[in-house]
Amino acid sequence: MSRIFNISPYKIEIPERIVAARMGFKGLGKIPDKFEDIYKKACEIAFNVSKPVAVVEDYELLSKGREVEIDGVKITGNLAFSQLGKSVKISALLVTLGRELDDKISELHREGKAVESFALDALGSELAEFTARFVDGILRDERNLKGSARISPGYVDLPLSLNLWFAQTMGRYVAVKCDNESFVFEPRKTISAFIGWSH
Amino acid sequence: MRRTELKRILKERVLVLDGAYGTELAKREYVEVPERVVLDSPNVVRNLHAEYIAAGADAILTCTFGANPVKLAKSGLENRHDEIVRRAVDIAKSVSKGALIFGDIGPTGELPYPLGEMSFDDYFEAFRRTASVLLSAGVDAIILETFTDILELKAAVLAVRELSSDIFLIANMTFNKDARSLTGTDPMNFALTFNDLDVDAIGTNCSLGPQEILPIFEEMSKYSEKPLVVEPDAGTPLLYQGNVRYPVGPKNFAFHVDSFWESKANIIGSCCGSNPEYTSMISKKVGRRAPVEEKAKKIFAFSSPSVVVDFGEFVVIGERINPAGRKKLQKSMRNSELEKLMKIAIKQKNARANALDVNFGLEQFVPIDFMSKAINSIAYKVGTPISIDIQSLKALEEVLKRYPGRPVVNSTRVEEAEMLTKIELTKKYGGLLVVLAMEEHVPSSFDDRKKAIKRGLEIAKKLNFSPNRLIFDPIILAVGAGSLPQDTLKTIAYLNDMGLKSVVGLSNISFGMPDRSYINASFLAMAMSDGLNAAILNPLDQIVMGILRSSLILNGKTIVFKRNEGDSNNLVELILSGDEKNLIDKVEEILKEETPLSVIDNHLKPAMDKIGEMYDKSRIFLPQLILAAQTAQKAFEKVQSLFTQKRSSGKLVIATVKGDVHDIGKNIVATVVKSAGYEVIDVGRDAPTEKIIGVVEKEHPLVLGLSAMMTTTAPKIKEITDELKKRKISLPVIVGGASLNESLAKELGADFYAKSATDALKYLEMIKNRVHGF
Repeated sequence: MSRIFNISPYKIEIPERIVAARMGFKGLGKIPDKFEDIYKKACEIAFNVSKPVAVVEDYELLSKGREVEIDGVKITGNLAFSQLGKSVKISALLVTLGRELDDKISELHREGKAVESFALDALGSELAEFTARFVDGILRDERNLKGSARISPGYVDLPLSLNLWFAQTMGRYVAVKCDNESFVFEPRKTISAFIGWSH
Repeated sequence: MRRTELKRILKERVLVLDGAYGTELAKREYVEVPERVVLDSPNVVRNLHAEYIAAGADAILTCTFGANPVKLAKSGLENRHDEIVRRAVDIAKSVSKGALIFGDIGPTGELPYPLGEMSFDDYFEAFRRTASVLLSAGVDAIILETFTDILELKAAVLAVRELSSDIFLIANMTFNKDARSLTGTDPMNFALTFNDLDVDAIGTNCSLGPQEILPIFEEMSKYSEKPLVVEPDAGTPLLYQGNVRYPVGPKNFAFHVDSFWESKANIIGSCCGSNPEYTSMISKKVGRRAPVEEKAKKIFAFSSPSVVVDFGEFVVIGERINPAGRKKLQKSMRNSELEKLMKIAIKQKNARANALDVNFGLEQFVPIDFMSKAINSIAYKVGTPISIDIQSLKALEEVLKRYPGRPVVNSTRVEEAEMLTKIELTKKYGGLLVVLAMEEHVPSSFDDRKKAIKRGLEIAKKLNFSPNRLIFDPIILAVGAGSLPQDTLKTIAYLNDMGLKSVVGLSNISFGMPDRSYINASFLAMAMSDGLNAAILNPLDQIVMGILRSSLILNGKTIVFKRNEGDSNNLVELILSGDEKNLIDKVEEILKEETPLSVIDNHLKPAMDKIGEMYDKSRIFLPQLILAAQTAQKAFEKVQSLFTQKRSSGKLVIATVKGDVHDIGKNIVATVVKSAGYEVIDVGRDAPTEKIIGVVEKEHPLVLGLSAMMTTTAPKIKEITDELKKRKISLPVIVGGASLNESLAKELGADFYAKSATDALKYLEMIKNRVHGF
C-alpha cells in the first residue's frame, strides 16, 4: 500500500553551501553577498510555490541477486546488483515539488530575470534532493532493517526507463507523468529512487 | 586482518568508523591527554570503545592519536611510549567483538624544515617506533590522521611500509575552510601525490564540519585512485558560556552521509565533538550500502607542497640551478650555501618559470643532505615544483624519499638496468619520470629515438609503471656539432601523435654557437608547433620567453589577440555589478561622442568578450556571467533602439528537443547570446522536430542551437539534422547539454558542440564572421 508524505518545505533544511555549489559558486562555500538577495528571494518563492510530496511503496522481491525483480519490473545493472541484490524488501520512492515551481522558473526567464530563474532552478533541484533525504531518514528511523544507498534511475547504470514504471505505478498519487521516449518526468523537480532493506 | 581482506570488504560495502576520543573524554571530565587516560583510567576508554561498537561502528581507533614519541614528550610521557601504545591496543581488543581495530597515529605537531626544525628522518623514526608497537600488538589497519603537512605524512607512510607491506594503511590530511593544509597543500595535490605511494586509502578528517568538508572531499575524490575515508568534526566549535560547543547535531551530521557516499566514500566516521550518538545516526544512514565505483580524473602533473603544475598547459622549467660552467655556483653547492640557490630560484619564478630543474653538477662534492635541504627549501619557500636532476642513485633516492609532493625525476636512459632502478625508485617514492629517447649511446637519427621510445614503453609496461607517469626527452643535440634538429622535431611530433608527453633541455641546441638566444627561441617555436609539452630553459632570457608567449598564441593555446579595449574595463565593472542604471548612463554618455554602431562594436562587445574570457578562465562564476549578460542586454537594447532599421548581430533559433523539459541550459545560452546583440527566437522546451524546422524555415536564422540534457533525448538532435538535410536547409547547428560531448555531437550531425554558454557565443561569432567574410 502506498504511503504519502506531504512535507512542509520549511521543514527541509538545505545547506547554503550546497545551493552555492549547485549554482556554480564552487569552492566559495556560500552565496556571495552580491547574490544574497537573489538567493533569499528564490528561497521565498521556492518555499511558497513548491509542494513537496513523496509516495513510498514497499515491495517484496520476486527475485534477487544479479536480476532484482519487484512487481513485474526488473531492476537491472551493476548498481542495482550491488545495492539491492541482498535485500529482503525494496522501497520505491517518488518525490516531487509540483508543477507550480516549474512554471515560476519559466515565468522568471520570460520576464528577463535570468539570474533569478537560474537561482530558483538550482534551489528547486536541491529542495527535491533534500526532500528525498528527509523521507529516506524517516524510513530508516522506523525500520529495524539496514537500508542500502538510495539509488535513482539514470545514476550509474540504473536504467532511466524505470521512470516509466514509477510514473505508472505511483505517479497518479502526486500528478507526475513521464515521457514515453525520453523517460523525463514532469513536473521537472521530481526524483525517483529505490532503497533496499536487508538484515 | 590481512590487507587484501580489508580491501575486499571495502569493495563490497561502506564501513562506519567510530567518533571522537579526545573531546568526548574531556566531556566526560577526563581532561588530561587521552594517552594518560589510557594509563590511568583504561575502563573509561574501554567503555567509550564499547559504546561506539554498540552504536554500529565497524571499526574503532586505538586511543593512540597523540602517542608518537615527539608528541608524548610534550606531556612527559615519552618514556612510556611502548606501554601506552600496547595498552591502548589491548583495551580496544578487549571489547572489539569482531569490530576492526585501526591503530591510530597522529602528527607530531612540529613543522618540517625549512618551516620548522623537524627533518624527514626525525618524523620517520618517531612514526616507525609507534607503528612498530601497533603492528606487534596486532591491529587490523593503521590510520594516519589529521596530518597538516604532506612531507610529515609521507614520512609516516614510508615508516609504516618499512615495517610491513601487509598492513592496510590509511593516510588522512586535514584542511582549513580554504581547502589548504597548514603548509599549503590542496586536496587535488594530496590525491595526486598519494596516488603514487603505497597506501590503501586516503581521506580527510577534523578541522571542519560535514558541510564544510564536503567540497574538499569531493575534490579529493575526483582525483584519487584509492578508496576514501571521511571523518568531519561535529561542526566548527563555538565558545558558549565558557564551554566549547560543537553546533552540528547527530541528525544533521548524518544528513550528509548521502553526499559523501555519492563522492565515493568507503569509510565514514566522525571526528572532534562527536560521540556514539553520531555513530549511531551515521550507521543507520549508511545501512548496508555498496560504495560507488567511478574512475578518477586523470591529470598529468607534478607538485610542490602548495603548487600543482599541469602538463595540460605548456610547462616552463627553469634551468638556472645548474653549475655547468658556473664555478661560483658549484662552490656554493660544495659549501652548502643555500642563499645563492634560493635567489636563483626566486628570480626564475618571478620570470614565470612554472617549475625548476635542480642540478648539482659535480655531485660527488656536494653533501647529499644539502641537496635534500636545498630542494625542499625551494619547494616549500619558493613554491615551485622540482625536476630533480640528480644522477647518483644514492643521492637521488635520499632526495626523492624526502621530497614534499610529486616531483619529476630527471632522467633515465632506456637502458634496462638503469631504467628498472629509476622506475622502482619513482614507484616507491612517487613522481613522474623523464625518459631520454636514447639507449646506451647517443641517438644519431629519428629512428634511433623512436626505437628507444618504444623500448622504454615496453620496459615500463613490464614493470607495471603507467605511461601516464612518463615524460620523454626527444634529445636535443648541439646544432653546432652537426646534429640535425629535424630529428628531434620529428620525435616530438611522433610523441605527440602517440599521446605521450615531451620535455626538452632547450639550451643544448645552441651549445657553442653565437646568438644562442635566437637559436634557442627559434627551435622552441618549431618544437611547440610539433606539440612539445615542456622545456627546461632560461626563463630570464627575454627573447626565448617572448617567442614562447607568441608561439602559445599561434598554436591556439591562449585566447586570441584582444581588440582595442578602450574603456571596456570600466564597462566590465559596471556590467558585472549588475547596475543597469549606471550602465545605461555610461552608454548614453558615450553615445554623445560616438555612433550607436561604434558603441556596440568598440565598447559593449569588447566588454562582454572580456567577461566571457573571465568566465572561461574561472575568474567569475556562472551566476555572475548570467547577471552580466542580463545587464548588458538592456544596454544593447537601448543602443539598438537608436538604429533606424532593425539591426542585430544575427539571429539564433534555439530549442530544447522533444522529450526534454530541462531548459535552464538553453535559457542561459539565450541570455548570454542576446547580451552580445543577437536576436534569439526561442522555440521553448520539449519542442517537436517539425516545430523547430518550421521556425527555421520562417526565420532564416544564422544558426540553430539545440539543447538535450538526457541521453534519451540526444538522438532527437539527429532527427532534426537529418530533416534539415532532407529539406536542403544548409544551416550550422550548435548543440549543448549534459549528455553530449564533441564526438557525439558530430555523430548526431551537429557542426559544433558548446560546453558552455560562452562557447556557444564564440561559435556564433565565428559563423557570423565567416558568413560576413571577415
